[in-house]
Amino acid sequence: MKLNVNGESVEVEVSEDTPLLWVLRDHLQLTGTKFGCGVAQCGACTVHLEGAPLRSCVTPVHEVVDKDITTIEGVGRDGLNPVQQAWIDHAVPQCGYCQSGQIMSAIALLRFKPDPTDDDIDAAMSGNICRCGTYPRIRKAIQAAAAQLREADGE
Amino acid sequence: MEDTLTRRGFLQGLGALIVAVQLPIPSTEAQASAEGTTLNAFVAIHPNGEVWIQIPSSEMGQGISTALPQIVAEELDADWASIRVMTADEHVDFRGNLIPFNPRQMTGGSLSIATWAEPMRQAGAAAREMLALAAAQRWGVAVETCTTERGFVRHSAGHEAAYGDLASEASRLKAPRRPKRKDPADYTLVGHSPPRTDLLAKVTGTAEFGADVRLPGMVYACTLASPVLGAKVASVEDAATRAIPGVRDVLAFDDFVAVVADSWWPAKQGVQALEVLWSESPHAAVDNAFIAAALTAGLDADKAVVGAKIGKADEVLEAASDPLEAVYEVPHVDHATMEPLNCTVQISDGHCEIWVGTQGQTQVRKRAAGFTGFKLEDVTVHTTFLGGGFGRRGRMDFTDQAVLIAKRVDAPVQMLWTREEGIRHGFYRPAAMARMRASVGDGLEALSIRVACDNVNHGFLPRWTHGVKIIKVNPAEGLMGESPYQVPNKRVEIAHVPLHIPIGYWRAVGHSYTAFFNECFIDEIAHRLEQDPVELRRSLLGNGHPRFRAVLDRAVEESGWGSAPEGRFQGIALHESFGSIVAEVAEISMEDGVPRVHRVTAAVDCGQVVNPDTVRAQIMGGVIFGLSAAMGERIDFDGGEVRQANFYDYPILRMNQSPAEVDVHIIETPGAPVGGIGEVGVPPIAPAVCNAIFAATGIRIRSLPIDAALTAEAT
Amino acid sequence: MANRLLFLGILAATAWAADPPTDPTETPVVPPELTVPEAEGLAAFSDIYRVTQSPRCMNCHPAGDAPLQTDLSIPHSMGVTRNSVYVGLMCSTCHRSKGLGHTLPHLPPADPHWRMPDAIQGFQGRTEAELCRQLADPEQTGDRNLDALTEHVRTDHLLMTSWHSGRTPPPISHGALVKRFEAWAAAGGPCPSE
Repeated sequence: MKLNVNGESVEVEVSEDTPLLWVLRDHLQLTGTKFGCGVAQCGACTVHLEGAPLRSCVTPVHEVVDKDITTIEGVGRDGLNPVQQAWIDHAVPQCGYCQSGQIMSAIALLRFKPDPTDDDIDAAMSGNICRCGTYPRIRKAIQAAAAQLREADGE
Repeated sequence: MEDTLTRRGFLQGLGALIVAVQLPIPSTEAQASAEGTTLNAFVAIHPNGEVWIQIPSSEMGQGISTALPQIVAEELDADWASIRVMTADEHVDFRGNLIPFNPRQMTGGSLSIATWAEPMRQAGAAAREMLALAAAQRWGVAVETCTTERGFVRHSAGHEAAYGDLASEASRLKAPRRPKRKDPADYTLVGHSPPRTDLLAKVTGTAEFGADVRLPGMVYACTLASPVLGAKVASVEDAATRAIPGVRDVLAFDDFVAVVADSWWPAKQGVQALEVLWSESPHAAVDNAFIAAALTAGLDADKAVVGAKIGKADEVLEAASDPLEAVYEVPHVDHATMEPLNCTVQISDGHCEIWVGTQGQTQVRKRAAGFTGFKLEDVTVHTTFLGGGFGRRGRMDFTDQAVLIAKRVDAPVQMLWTREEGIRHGFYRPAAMARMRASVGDGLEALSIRVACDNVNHGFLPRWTHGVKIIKVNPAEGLMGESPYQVPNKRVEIAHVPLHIPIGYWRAVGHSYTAFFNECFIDEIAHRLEQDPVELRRSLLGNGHPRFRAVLDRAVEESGWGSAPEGRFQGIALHESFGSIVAEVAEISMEDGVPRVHRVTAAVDCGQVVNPDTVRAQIMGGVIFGLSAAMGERIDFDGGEVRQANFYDYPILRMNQSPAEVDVHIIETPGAPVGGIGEVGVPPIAPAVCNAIFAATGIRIRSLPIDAALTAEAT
Repeated sequence: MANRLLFLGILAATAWAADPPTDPTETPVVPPELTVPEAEGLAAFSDIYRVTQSPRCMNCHPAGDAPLQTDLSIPHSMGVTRNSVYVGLMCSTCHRSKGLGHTLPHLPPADPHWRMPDAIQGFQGRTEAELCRQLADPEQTGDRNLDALTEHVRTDHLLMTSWHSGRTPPPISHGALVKRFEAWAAAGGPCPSE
């Protein structure tokens, strides 16, 4: 079957029920998207499906054939995405395992809500677990990225 | 006063001894090579100017892959932007003495900086001198007239050479035994917060964790061990499993079954399709009631190990007219690292190569040698990034499994556990109970504590250490000599209650519950005395503990203690662990009977600080990690099985449940020994929040997790 | 035999009564003597009410903004509400089109159009009388009259997952529920008094 991942068309031969997560990690060697729970509880597997967040661990690959999928490897195509840069500026990651998913959820949030409140951040990000406890810095980084994006848009 | 030797004091003393007889850093085949010229075990410099620093420690989020290189780069006068870091493959050069007389390459106990700061300084300073000498020789000048700065050696006559250019010549020089060290007043890196070395990789998804290792021809394995503790594999029905496309083999071992497949999903499907008959287990009777009864019996037993004894606590309490008494308890909890456990092994041509996120490289290597029958030099252990350690990745159960599987597979194999397997086969922070008793007249006259708990050290430390008293009293660490409160009569006892449940070092170990016991009970005493909890603590500290007092006062000041806005309530806790003193103030409100933590203010004295930002990050992380456990984590046992399975029934704190702000204030005590940071933010948060809940509601939480305690209170 | 004749007679009569009215915008008025008796209609609604109060239905028709989870009908974890979509968190982020081949328990149940109804379409906390009036009022059912409501129950995919999501199903089968709606509608949608 044919998948569109990060702007590239790829052919994979897998059983159609295989979760997208494992197609990405084991068949396409895109290991930036992580396995944390397998039951859509932790968000580490978050990718974008046509710009909206998706938990790839519970998505059979046949659902996303011919649709645009973006992974962490694809969000900073021309240098770093502003969200990634904000993550660096605020030294957000500790162990870092959850951060691909956090960043994907944050990018989606800012697409929908360029000026998010604290409640908006809670609502968008509470599906992503961080065991290291980086939440306060994630919050600050999102607000910084939001400000930077608004400025870039000339607001 | 019978002062019980703490583990920390022992190691500190030993560490000092070792530094005094420190040999020059051994040079691992210092030679010119295209890859990067090794100047010593820790430093190699590439012709392109990259400075490669090998550290002994595993990076699991604590930032050690930034802090230790900072020390090297400082003495080396390297440009921070040129630094590249990796955790060293297991090697004798990287074994430290974190366990007395048992050198191991390992990361734990919040000891990495205390253990390795000196060798890092030595390595950086020695390499700098070799580079300077090489330049001086090249230019025919005296080395004293050369200076180093940001990756260059310079001479006043206008000579300049980059480290990358000099490395090859430098490597041929003899490493100096006592290289000149920088004056701390001149530090530009240590004590500052240069950017962490792992940030770019972790925000781009390119950081390689154990589960991300990919090798040509690699196969994947998923495993299943008995849901009931201690049962063995009796028989395996695997026809359905073998029929799954992609499944290559089903391997039965003594106490687990592995399904090997071309990729992980069919391996996991294969495990689900297995029909395994497990043997009877002697531990099938373990359940919550059994645990509670055993711990209670420990509290009530006639005899216990004495951990501290001052004055005559028992007699004073006997005579007291209205002693304060309370029983506190905590459940087993899991590490729940974000990255499920995994290990990749390739055995071929008489060599065993392992890729793993481990906290115990030496143990992994030795055990693999044992299982394969190979010599140690034929076993290589590479360390990847760890998606969380917290102590869990210091166990060898999962690496043993991977090696055993690899012995029976003719390809490199990555064994990856499911989340369910991880929660059910943890090495939990043990459940514990404490009877706290105090005689409170005009002040605190007597304090008597008995802790009932299994002992995490058994099975991990070398057998001979089990006789050492510090091991026996470890379940009450933090309550004995380490506790700064001055009480004229004090007794601390430990009842060791073997439960045969797999337990291990969870972040902060015994402190993760002793702070809860002690700091909540101190709050109860304050309430009995009708005294402000901060005032009581100040009076108990007296004048003999200025560092504790400074930390307490700083937290009080920065949190606005006593002036929380309407509807907000505060609680405080003060605790020392791993050589650092931490105070935390939690500010909460109650929303429909559920505590919501809005803000935590922390003050920490860890002696000296290498990277302030990592200190702040780790305290913040420890607070939220500890808060997660305090609010809702528990491992229940039923019929010898763990009831919990995944995050829907083992809830980890989320963004919407976490304080929006965790403010950390660092107090440095120049000249004091380096205190640990990785674990020390954990202990105070549970008591701080519970004390705040008392202030808000009058409800005294004496058992964790809080949500269960409040539910029980409401019914 | 007599009952069957009576049944056929009613059926025939109903078919006769279903001739289109002269004004197409007017709702057809069904003469009372040709519907299911009121008592039967009320009994049917009683079963309908029982179903709406069961977790599989009530969980997506909550009183508040958060959908509910489990048989305890506690608020959805992770802070999910009907407004999460505005910050980019879709229901379909986790609730996908089809369950996995070998489903684990506690996976998010699957349907291509996982969604919540409007806020006014909650079932939670309604008495039987209140809910009856609510369902009988097209303004509170997204402009569905009783027949359209019955059609919703008969054919809505998401609704039908209630019986095969691996969780406790509603107290009566889907087919039985459809029949109850048909009977209630044919009785003219009678409601109990308070």
